[in-house]
Amino acid sequence: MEESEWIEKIKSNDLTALGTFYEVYKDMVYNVCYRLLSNRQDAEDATQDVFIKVFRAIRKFRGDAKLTTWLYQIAVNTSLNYERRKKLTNWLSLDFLIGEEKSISFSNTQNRPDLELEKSESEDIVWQAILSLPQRQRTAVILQRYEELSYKDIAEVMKTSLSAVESLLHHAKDNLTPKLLTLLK
Amino acid sequence: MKKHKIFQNKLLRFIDGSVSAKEKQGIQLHIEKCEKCRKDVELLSDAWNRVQHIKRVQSSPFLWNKILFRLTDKTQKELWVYKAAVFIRQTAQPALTAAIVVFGLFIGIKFGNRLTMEDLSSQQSSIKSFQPQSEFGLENFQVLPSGTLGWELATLMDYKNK
Repeated sequence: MEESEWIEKIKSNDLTALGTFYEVYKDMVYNVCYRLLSNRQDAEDATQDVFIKVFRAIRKFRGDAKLTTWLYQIAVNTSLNYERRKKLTNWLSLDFLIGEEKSISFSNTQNRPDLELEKSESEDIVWQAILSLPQRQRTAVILQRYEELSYKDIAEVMKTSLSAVESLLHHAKDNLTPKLLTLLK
Repeated sequence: MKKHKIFQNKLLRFIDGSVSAKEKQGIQLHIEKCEKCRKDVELLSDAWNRVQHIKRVQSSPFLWNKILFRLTDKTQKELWVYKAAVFIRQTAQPALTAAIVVFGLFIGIKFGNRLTMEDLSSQQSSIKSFQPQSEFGLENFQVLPSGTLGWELATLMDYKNK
Protein backbone atom coordinates (compact mmCIF):
# COMPACT_ATOMS: atom_id res chain seq x y z
CA MET A 1 0.00 0.00 0.00
CA GLU A 2 1.24 3.50 -0.84
CA GLU A 3 2.02 5.86 2.00
CA SER A 4 -0.66 8.34 0.93
CA GLU A 5 -3.27 5.56 0.75
CA TRP A 6 -2.38 4.55 4.30
CA ILE A 7 -2.72 8.08 5.55
CA GLU A 8 -6.11 8.54 3.89
CA LYS A 9 -7.44 5.28 5.29
CA ILE A 10 -6.19 6.03 8.80
CA LYS A 11 -7.73 9.51 8.57
CA SER A 12 -11.06 7.85 7.86
CA ASN A 13 -10.67 5.84 11.11
CA ASP A 14 -9.78 2.58 9.37
CA LEU A 15 -8.28 0.47 12.16
CA THR A 16 -7.22 -2.25 9.70
CA ALA A 17 -5.05 0.26 7.87
CA LEU A 18 -3.59 1.34 11.21
CA GLY A 19 -2.90 -2.33 11.98
CA THR A 20 -0.94 -2.70 8.74
CA PHE A 21 0.85 0.55 9.46
CA TYR A 22 1.71 -0.79 12.91
CA GLU A 23 3.16 -4.02 11.50
CA VAL A 24 5.49 -2.09 9.24
CA TYR A 25 6.72 0.47 11.78
CA LYS A 26 6.41 -1.27 15.14
CA ASP A 27 10.05 -2.37 15.36
CA MET A 28 11.35 1.04 14.44
CA VAL A 29 9.18 2.79 17.03
CA TYR A 30 9.76 0.17 19.72
CA ASN A 31 13.53 0.28 19.28
CA VAL A 32 13.66 4.07 19.50
CA CYS A 33 11.55 3.99 22.67
CA TYR A 34 13.62 1.13 24.12
CA ARG A 35 16.91 2.89 23.51
CA LEU A 36 15.67 6.14 24.99
CA LEU A 37 13.98 4.54 28.00
CA SER A 38 16.23 1.46 28.58
CA ASN A 39 13.29 -0.51 29.95
CA ARG A 40 11.12 -3.01 28.08
CA GLN A 41 7.88 -2.26 29.90
CA ASP A 42 8.30 1.50 29.56
CA ALA A 43 9.14 1.08 25.89
CA GLU A 44 5.94 -0.92 25.34
CA ASP A 45 3.85 1.71 27.11
CA ALA A 46 5.51 4.47 25.10
CA THR A 47 5.00 2.53 21.85
CA GLN A 48 1.28 2.21 22.59
CA ASP A 49 1.09 5.95 23.22
CA VAL A 50 2.92 6.64 19.95
CA PHE A 51 0.48 4.67 17.78
CA ILE A 52 -2.53 6.11 19.57
CA LYS A 53 -1.14 9.60 18.94
CA VAL A 54 -0.60 8.69 15.30
CA PHE A 55 -4.23 7.63 14.99
CA ARG A 56 -5.49 10.83 16.60
CA ALA A 57 -3.05 13.28 15.00
CA ILE A 58 -2.92 11.86 11.45
CA ARG A 59 -5.47 14.47 10.32
CA LYS A 60 -2.92 17.17 11.13
CA PHE A 61 -0.21 15.47 9.05
CA ARG A 62 0.16 17.66 5.98
CA GLY A 63 2.68 15.50 4.12
CA ASP A 64 5.35 18.22 3.98
CA ALA A 65 7.73 15.94 5.93
CA LYS A 66 8.41 12.24 5.43
CA LEU A 67 6.07 9.93 7.31
CA THR A 68 9.01 8.20 9.01
CA THR A 69 10.42 11.55 10.20
CA TRP A 70 7.02 12.47 11.64
CA LEU A 71 6.82 9.07 13.32
CA TYR A 72 10.31 9.47 14.78
CA GLN A 73 9.32 12.90 16.13
CA ILE A 74 6.32 11.43 17.93
CA ALA A 75 8.37 8.46 19.22
CA VAL A 76 11.20 10.65 20.55
CA ASN A 77 8.88 13.22 22.16
CA THR A 78 6.67 10.54 23.72
CA SER A 79 9.68 8.68 25.13
CA LEU A 80 11.29 11.81 26.56
CA ASN A 81 7.98 12.94 28.12
CA TYR A 82 7.52 9.45 29.56
CA GLU A 83 11.00 9.59 31.06
CA ARG A 84 10.33 12.98 32.65
CA ARG A 85 6.99 11.82 34.09
CA LYS A 86 8.60 8.68 35.45
CA LYS A 87 11.40 10.64 37.11
CA LEU A 88 8.84 12.89 38.77
CA THR A 89 6.76 9.90 39.90
CA ASN A 90 9.87 8.15 41.24
CA TRP A 91 10.91 11.28 43.08
CA LEU A 92 7.48 11.70 44.63
CA SER A 93 7.31 8.05 45.67
CA LEU A 94 10.92 8.16 46.98
CA ASP A 95 11.90 5.26 44.67
CA PHE A 96 15.09 7.11 43.83
CA LEU A 97 16.37 6.10 47.27
CA ILE A 98 16.19 2.44 46.25
CA GLY A 99 17.77 3.05 42.87
CA GLU A 100 16.92 1.63 39.47
CA GLU A 101 18.69 -0.88 37.29
CA LYS A 102 19.21 0.84 34.00
CA SER A 103 21.77 -1.28 32.19
CA ILE A 104 20.21 -3.26 29.38
CA SER A 105 22.16 -5.57 27.16
CA PHE A 106 21.59 -5.32 23.45
CA SER A 107 23.92 -8.16 22.54
CA ASN A 108 22.95 -11.36 20.73
CA THR A 109 24.28 -14.78 21.67
CA GLN A 110 24.92 -16.99 18.68
CA ASN A 111 27.25 -19.95 18.03
CA ARG A 112 30.56 -18.79 19.55
CA PRO A 113 29.89 -18.07 23.21
CA ASP A 114 33.44 -16.87 23.93
CA LEU A 115 33.46 -14.37 21.07
CA GLU A 116 29.87 -13.47 21.73
CA LEU A 117 30.69 -12.78 25.36
CA GLU A 118 33.48 -10.42 24.37
CA LYS A 119 31.22 -8.81 21.78
CA SER A 120 28.37 -8.38 24.25
CA GLU A 121 30.65 -6.78 26.84
CA SER A 122 31.95 -4.10 24.50
CA GLU A 123 28.44 -3.41 23.18
CA ASP A 124 27.22 -3.03 26.74
CA ILE A 125 30.13 -0.72 27.53
CA VAL A 126 29.30 1.49 24.58
CA TRP A 127 25.66 1.49 25.62
CA GLN A 128 26.46 2.41 29.22
CA ALA A 129 28.64 5.24 28.01
CA ILE A 130 25.85 6.53 25.73
CA LEU A 131 23.33 6.35 28.59
CA SER A 132 25.54 8.60 30.69
CA LEU A 133 25.32 11.45 28.15
CA PRO A 134 22.98 14.43 28.63
CA GLN A 135 19.50 13.81 27.18
CA ARG A 136 19.80 15.76 23.94
CA GLN A 137 23.24 14.40 23.13
CA ARG A 138 22.04 10.88 23.89
CA THR A 139 19.00 11.31 21.62
CA ALA A 140 21.16 12.59 18.77
CA VAL A 141 23.66 9.72 19.12
CA ILE A 142 20.88 7.10 19.24
CA LEU A 143 19.25 8.52 16.12
CA GLN A 144 22.54 8.75 14.26
CA ARG A 145 24.21 5.54 15.38
CA TYR A 146 21.35 3.10 15.97
CA GLU A 147 18.69 4.43 13.62
CA GLU A 148 21.22 5.59 10.99
CA LEU A 149 19.40 8.83 10.29
CA SER A 150 21.13 11.60 8.38
CA TYR A 151 21.97 14.86 10.15
CA LYS A 152 19.15 16.57 8.24
CA ASP A 153 16.63 13.97 9.40
CA ILE A 154 17.88 14.20 12.97
CA ALA A 155 17.44 17.98 12.84
CA GLU A 156 13.84 17.53 11.65
CA VAL A 157 13.08 14.92 14.31
CA MET A 158 14.57 16.99 17.13
CA LYS A 159 13.11 20.21 15.67
CA THR A 160 16.40 21.98 15.66
CA SER A 161 18.93 23.28 13.14
CA LEU A 162 21.53 21.25 11.28
CA SER A 163 24.35 23.11 12.99
CA ALA A 164 22.81 22.36 16.40
CA VAL A 165 22.76 18.64 15.55
CA GLU A 166 26.39 18.77 14.42
CA SER A 167 27.30 20.51 17.67
CA LEU A 168 25.36 17.96 19.76
CA LEU A 169 27.06 15.01 18.06
CA HIS A 170 30.45 16.72 18.23
CA HIS A 171 30.19 17.21 21.99
CA ALA A 172 28.63 13.78 22.52
CA LYS A 173 31.53 12.02 20.84
CA ASP A 174 34.08 14.17 22.67
CA ASN A 175 32.38 13.19 25.94
CA LEU A 176 32.16 9.52 24.96
CA THR A 177 35.81 9.05 24.02
CA PRO A 178 37.43 9.26 27.48
CA LYS A 179 34.56 7.27 29.05
CA LEU A 180 34.86 4.50 26.48
CA LEU A 181 38.63 4.35 26.78
CA THR A 182 38.37 4.05 30.56
CA LEU A 183 35.70 1.34 30.40
CA LEU A 184 37.24 -0.65 27.55
CA LYS A 185 40.77 -0.84 29.01
CA MET B 1 52.22 15.18 25.73
CA LYS B 2 50.00 18.21 25.20
CA LYS B 3 49.19 17.08 21.66
CA HIS B 4 48.43 13.60 22.94
CA LYS B 5 45.73 14.96 25.26
CA ILE B 6 44.29 17.17 22.54
CA PHE B 7 44.04 14.33 20.06
CA GLN B 8 42.78 11.74 22.50
CA ASN B 9 39.34 13.34 22.89
CA LYS B 10 38.97 13.55 19.14
CA LEU B 11 39.65 9.88 18.43
CA LEU B 12 36.00 8.86 18.24
CA ARG B 13 35.22 11.65 15.80
CA PHE B 14 38.27 10.63 13.82
CA ILE B 15 36.96 7.05 13.61
CA ASP B 16 33.51 8.34 12.68
CA GLY B 17 34.93 10.63 10.00
CA SER B 18 33.52 13.79 11.54
CA VAL B 19 36.77 15.75 11.99
CA SER B 20 38.00 18.48 9.69
CA ALA B 21 40.65 17.67 7.07
CA LYS B 22 43.31 19.52 9.04
CA GLU B 23 42.44 17.70 12.28
CA LYS B 24 42.40 14.35 10.45
CA GLN B 25 45.87 14.97 9.05
CA GLY B 26 47.16 15.98 12.50
CA ILE B 27 45.69 12.89 14.19
CA GLN B 28 46.99 10.57 11.48
CA LEU B 29 50.50 11.94 11.85
CA HIS B 30 50.27 11.59 15.64
CA ILE B 31 48.97 8.01 15.46
CA GLU B 32 51.90 7.00 13.28
CA LYS B 33 54.28 8.08 16.04
CA CYS B 34 52.22 7.27 19.17
CA GLU B 35 51.61 3.58 19.83
CA LYS B 36 49.24 4.27 22.74
CA CYS B 37 46.91 6.34 20.57
CA ARG B 38 47.14 3.76 17.80
CA LYS B 39 45.93 1.05 20.20
CA ASP B 40 43.20 3.36 21.52
CA VAL B 41 41.96 3.93 17.97
CA GLU B 42 41.80 0.18 17.37
CA LEU B 43 39.94 -0.38 20.63
CA LEU B 44 37.43 2.40 20.00
CA SER B 45 36.95 1.49 16.39
CA ASP B 46 36.18 -2.11 17.24
CA ALA B 47 33.60 -1.21 19.92
CA TRP B 48 32.02 1.69 18.04
CA ASN B 49 31.57 -0.20 14.78
CA ARG B 50 29.84 -3.09 16.53
CA VAL B 51 27.02 -0.78 17.53
CA GLN B 52 25.64 -0.70 14.02
CA HIS B 53 25.35 -4.46 13.83
CA ILE B 54 23.14 -4.84 16.87
CA LYS B 55 19.90 -6.51 15.86
CA ARG B 56 16.66 -4.74 16.53
CA VAL B 57 14.83 -5.70 19.69
CA GLN B 58 11.44 -7.36 19.18
CA SER B 59 8.35 -5.97 20.83
CA SER B 60 5.70 -8.08 22.56
CA PRO B 61 3.33 -9.85 20.11
CA PHE B 62 0.37 -8.70 22.22
CA LEU B 63 1.19 -5.03 21.91
CA TRP B 64 -1.20 -4.47 19.00
CA ASN B 65 -4.09 -5.92 21.00
CA LYS B 66 -3.39 -3.48 23.81
CA ILE B 67 -3.30 -0.58 21.34
CA LEU B 68 -6.55 -1.73 19.69
CA PHE B 69 -8.27 -2.02 23.03
CA ARG B 70 -7.22 1.50 24.02
CA LEU B 71 -8.28 2.89 20.65
CA THR B 72 -11.74 1.33 20.64
CA ASP B 73 -12.26 2.28 24.23
CA LYS B 74 -11.28 5.87 23.39
CA THR B 75 -13.46 5.89 20.29
CA GLN B 76 -16.54 4.92 22.30
CA LYS B 77 -15.83 7.52 24.94
CA GLU B 78 -15.25 10.14 22.26
CA LEU B 79 -18.58 9.23 20.63
CA TRP B 80 -20.44 9.83 23.87
CA VAL B 81 -18.70 13.16 24.41
CA TYR B 82 -19.41 14.12 20.79
CA LYS B 83 -23.14 13.41 21.17
CA ALA B 84 -23.33 15.42 24.38
CA ALA B 85 -21.51 18.31 22.72
CA VAL B 86 -23.96 18.27 19.79
CA PHE B 87 -26.96 18.36 22.16
CA ILE B 88 -25.52 21.29 24.08
CA ARG B 89 -24.71 23.12 20.89
CA GLN B 90 -28.16 22.65 19.39
CA THR B 91 -30.38 23.40 22.38
CA ALA B 92 -28.74 24.91 25.42
CA GLN B 93 -26.42 27.28 23.58
CA PRO B 94 -29.11 29.23 21.64
CA ALA B 95 -31.27 29.41 24.77
CA LEU B 96 -28.37 30.75 26.80
CA THR B 97 -27.46 33.29 24.13
CA ALA B 98 -31.06 34.55 23.95
CA ALA B 99 -31.23 34.83 27.73
CA ILE B 100 -28.02 36.87 27.80
CA VAL B 101 -29.30 39.22 25.07
CA VAL B 102 -32.63 39.77 26.84
CA PHE B 103 -30.91 40.35 30.14
CA GLY B 104 -28.51 42.77 28.50
CA LEU B 105 -31.36 44.74 26.93
CA PHE B 106 -33.20 44.87 30.24
CA ILE B 107 -30.14 46.18 32.06
CA GLY B 108 -29.48 48.66 29.28
CA ILE B 109 -32.99 50.07 29.35
CA LYS B 110 -33.03 50.33 33.12
CA PHE B 111 -29.64 51.97 33.24
CA GLY B 112 -30.47 54.27 30.35
CA ASN B 113 -33.73 55.48 31.92
CA ARG B 114 -32.06 56.12 35.22
CA LEU B 115 -29.25 58.08 33.58
CA THR B 116 -31.65 60.28 31.61
CA MET B 117 -33.60 61.23 34.78
CA GLU B 118 -30.38 62.01 36.62
CA ASP B 119 -29.15 64.16 33.74
CA LEU B 120 -32.39 66.16 33.62
CA SER B 121 -32.33 66.84 37.33
CA SER B 122 -28.70 67.96 37.25
CA GLN B 123 -29.33 70.14 34.19
CA GLN B 124 -32.19 71.96 35.94
CA SER B 125 -29.95 72.89 38.84
CA SER B 126 -27.17 74.23 36.67
CA ILE B 127 -29.31 76.09 34.18
CA LYS B 128 -28.65 79.48 35.86
CA SER B 129 -24.98 79.33 34.97
CA PHE B 130 -25.73 79.27 31.26
CA GLN B 131 -25.42 82.42 29.22
CA PRO B 132 -28.28 83.87 27.21
CA GLN B 133 -29.62 82.14 24.18
CA SER B 134 -27.10 83.45 21.71
CA GLU B 135 -24.18 81.87 23.58
CA PHE B 136 -25.97 78.60 23.86
CA GLY B 137 -26.63 78.81 20.16
CA LEU B 138 -30.40 78.61 20.20
CA GLU B 139 -30.45 79.66 16.58
CA ASN B 140 -29.26 76.15 16.01
CA PHE B 141 -32.10 74.79 18.08
CA GLN B 142 -33.99 73.65 15.04
CA VAL B 143 -31.12 71.45 13.89
CA LEU B 144 -30.47 69.78 17.24
CA PRO B 145 -31.64 66.17 17.19
CA SER B 146 -34.46 65.55 19.63
CA GLY B 147 -33.71 63.53 22.72
CA THR B 148 -30.11 64.71 23.00
CA LEU B 149 -28.83 66.64 25.96
CA GLY B 150 -28.50 69.78 23.92
CA TRP B 151 -32.04 69.54 22.72
CA GLU B 152 -33.27 69.03 26.30
CA LEU B 153 -31.40 72.08 27.54
CA ALA B 154 -32.56 74.20 24.66
CA THR B 155 -36.15 73.17 25.30
CA LEU B 156 -35.87 74.05 28.96
CA MET B 157 -34.29 77.42 28.28
CA ASP B 158 -36.86 78.22 25.66
CA TYR B 159 -39.58 77.37 28.15
CA LYS B 160 -37.98 79.50 30.86
CA ASN B 161 -37.56 82.48 28.59
CA LYS B 162 -41.16 82.29 27.60
